[in-house]
Amino acid sequence: MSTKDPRVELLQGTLDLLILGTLAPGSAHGHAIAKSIERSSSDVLQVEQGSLYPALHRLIKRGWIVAEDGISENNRRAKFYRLTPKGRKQLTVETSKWDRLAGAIARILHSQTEST
Amino acid sequence: MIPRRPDLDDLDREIRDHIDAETRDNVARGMSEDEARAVAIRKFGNVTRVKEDVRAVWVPGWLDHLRQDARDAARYVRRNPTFSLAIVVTLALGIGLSTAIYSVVNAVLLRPLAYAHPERMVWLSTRAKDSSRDMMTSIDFAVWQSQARSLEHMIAYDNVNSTLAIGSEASRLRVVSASKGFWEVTGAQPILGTLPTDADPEALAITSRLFLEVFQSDPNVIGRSVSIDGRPATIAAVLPEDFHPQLQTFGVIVDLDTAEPAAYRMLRVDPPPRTITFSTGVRVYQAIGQLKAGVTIAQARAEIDAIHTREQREHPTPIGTSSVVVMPLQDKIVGPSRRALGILLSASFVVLLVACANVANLLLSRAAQRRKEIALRMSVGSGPLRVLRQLFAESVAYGALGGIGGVVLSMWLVNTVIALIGSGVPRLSEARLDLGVLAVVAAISFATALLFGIGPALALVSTNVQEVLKEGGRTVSASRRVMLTGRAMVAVQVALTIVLLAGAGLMVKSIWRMTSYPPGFAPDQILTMRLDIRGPQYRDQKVRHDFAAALISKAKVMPGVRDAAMSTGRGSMMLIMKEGEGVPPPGERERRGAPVSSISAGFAPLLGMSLVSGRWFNDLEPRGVVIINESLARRDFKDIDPIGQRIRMPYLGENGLATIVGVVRDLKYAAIDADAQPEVFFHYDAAPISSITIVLRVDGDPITVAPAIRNALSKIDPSQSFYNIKTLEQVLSDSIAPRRFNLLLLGTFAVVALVLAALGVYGVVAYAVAERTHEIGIRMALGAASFNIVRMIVAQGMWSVAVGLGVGLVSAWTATRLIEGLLYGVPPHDVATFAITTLAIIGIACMACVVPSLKAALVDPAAALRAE
Repeated sequence: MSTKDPRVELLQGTLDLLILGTLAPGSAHGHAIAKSIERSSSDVLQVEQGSLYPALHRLIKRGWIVAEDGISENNRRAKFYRLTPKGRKQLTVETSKWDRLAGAIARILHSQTEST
Repeated sequence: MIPRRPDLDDLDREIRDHIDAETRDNVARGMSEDEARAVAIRKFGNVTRVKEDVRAVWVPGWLDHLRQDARDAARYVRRNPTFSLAIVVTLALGIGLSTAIYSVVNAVLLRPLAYAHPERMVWLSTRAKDSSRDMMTSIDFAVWQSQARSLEHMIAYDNVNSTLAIGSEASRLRVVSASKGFWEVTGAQPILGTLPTDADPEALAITSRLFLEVFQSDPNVIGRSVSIDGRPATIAAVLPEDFHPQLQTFGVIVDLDTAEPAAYRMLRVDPPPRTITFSTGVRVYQAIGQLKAGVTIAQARAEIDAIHTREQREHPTPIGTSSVVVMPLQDKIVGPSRRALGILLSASFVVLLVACANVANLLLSRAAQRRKEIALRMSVGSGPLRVLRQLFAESVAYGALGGIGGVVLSMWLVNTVIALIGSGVPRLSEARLDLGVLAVVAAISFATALLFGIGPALALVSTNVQEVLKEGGRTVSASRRVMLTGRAMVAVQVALTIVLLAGAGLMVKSIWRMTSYPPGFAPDQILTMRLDIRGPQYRDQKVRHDFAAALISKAKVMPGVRDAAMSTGRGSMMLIMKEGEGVPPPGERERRGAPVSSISAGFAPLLGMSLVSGRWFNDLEPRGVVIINESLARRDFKDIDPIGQRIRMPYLGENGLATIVGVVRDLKYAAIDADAQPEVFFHYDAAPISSITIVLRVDGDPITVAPAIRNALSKIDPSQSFYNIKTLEQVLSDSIAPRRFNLLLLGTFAVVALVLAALGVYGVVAYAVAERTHEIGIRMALGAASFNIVRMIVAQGMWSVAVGLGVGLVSAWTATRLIEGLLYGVPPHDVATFAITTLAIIGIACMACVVPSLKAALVDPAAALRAE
């Protein structure tokens, strides 16, 4: 992948966290989740959309989200995914973990650029 | 809470919707419809992989693989029906036959008897030295019972055909009368009522079968009044289903009736008088005992032997001396069947071996044919593990199908065997499928299928797959290895088959020898009927004799009856002494016995015995006249004419002497699997009679006229009932029923082995032809005649057969010695049988070779050369 490409490939496991975050405000179907991730990262994070589905099923299996049948915005039957209380707790834990990690990495990188 | 798996079938729709939505978004951004969809699909990624990944979240990989392997294996089994059928049938035969036979052997030989302390149960009897018949008189019983310290219980019983009348319905059943202690040694607990005590001779304990079949399990049966042989009886208890004390009646010669007892009652053994004459009524019983805990059978035998020897010295009887028999009850019951069953068991395992060899053979040649395919698949993508897994699955599939077939076959076989001869062999009716052995046998077969299913592929893994592919399937070294293994298997099969075939052949010849009757003896024209003269009106012997005479004279004048006579059946053994001869020394005495039978005048000629010298009886015979047979004349009157000689016959003749008036030719009219024995006949008027056999020589089919004769004769005294109405041929045939059963099984094994061996030969030769199509093509292109090709293929196929034959004949020569005891009139090394067996195997193997070699001869050289 070219280094000039401004888009960032997702780190392993990050997708899970992103899905949980996307579902925090309320339930959504698969395509909406993909759109939402792309949109809110201003298309910087590029998800190969198909990989969303194995990730969703992993989260269901862990009990963090559940799938429910519902009607999509254009009146079609669709599967909606919703956070469970367990998933919400997980999101909090993961978010703070991520924040600490991101902060630490940022501090290291910034101190290095400053010293050079 | 365990997360629930969403319906994976929805996934397709979800993905489709996702792509549709993305397409719409793209169109909204201004793309054309086609472009929009293409971009959406690209952005989504590999749909198949997404679906697999989702599936993998829920279903572990190995389970998925297993499913796929099972599907592949099932497809392979279905697509190769002939091959699959051959393997499955072979496995089923191997598993089914050996399991069924083991189950039978287990029931008869290995399982403990149904007694409270089966290991302590003994059979007690006396036996005249030159006889094989056991006898327990009431005198010996009383003496032993009062004196033997080594026995905790000693029980006398008799087991007789009786007429059980319930209301107006009468049926003939076996009723056992057993003396005190019987319930203790059998450990019986009634399911209804209370067991009879010896204080109440009328109380009856019925079996659960009688309870079910005659009384329809009506619990009110307790207290019902019935009658046995005209005497009142009351049903006091119902015995449990597993009550099965195996009280056989041993030593019955003509009347082979082994029906299960239907009821039991108590027997009071009265102390007998000390001095015995013929009319004092010594009862004859059978006896069993239970050893005291800790007493060995040798100790018991020594003690009883001492008691018996002292008793014989102090109170000699005219019957002659006898020795004691004290043996484990289990041995007594199953003894005669032991050897035959052991042989059948070995034979069934030989069949299992042949079957395993066959499976190995089939799988080997199949593996050789698939060699190229397997090598290809190993190198392309799937990888060796995947291929091995699939072969494993195939082997398991064959093993499972064969196993199921084997279970079904063995269940059917066990039931069939019980139905055929369940009552003819002691304890056989208890046979159940033995699950332990089924597991072992199935494991052996499975292991064979696995070993030879995967082995060849494993060998491929270690060799360079590329090499195999380059060889173009025309590989020499590896296929030679397969060929050699295949030929070795064929040799093994042939060798094992010939052993079975020779054994079966010898038994066929034995039966044939037994049933080839001398001229004049036509047992199919002779009807026999048993009658036990019973009831108070026959207390006087004179009345009994008159009744018998009336029956005979009435039968003689009936339409369709050519002649009628009677016999009491073969009586007890008697020491034969000539007039003036002193009592022979003990050593001599042992081989001087002969059974003595009472007959009516016409009996011997009616059966077809012919007179050698002297005369027949007539119906006004004075007492003290006997006819002897040739065997006896030869043994005891070597150089003298026996006519006019007198022999000592206690109770019979005047002054205990009887004159020989005739000598008849030997005739095996009672049991046909033994040589003729010395025998003495006297007229029935001279002695008491109780059970008689009426024999009738009839025109036409005896069985069709039997009912009319029975009705007519019954009118003389309706209270007496006839039973065991059979042709003499039937009686004789029944006397060898166990032999015919052995033959049936051994014959089946031999045929199965032969078919499997033929299959093996065919398989190997067919494989060789397939392998060499190219070579055969070259030979024919170079001018070889079809005949020469056939000869070459057959000769090569017959090589392994010849090796197997050689080994097999040597083994059979040794093995048939083991079945010597089961043969009659045929030496174990009967050359004719061996020759026929060898020819049969050669013939069948030849055919198995010729079929595929003809295929080779029809090869079109041009096509064969192009084929590769």
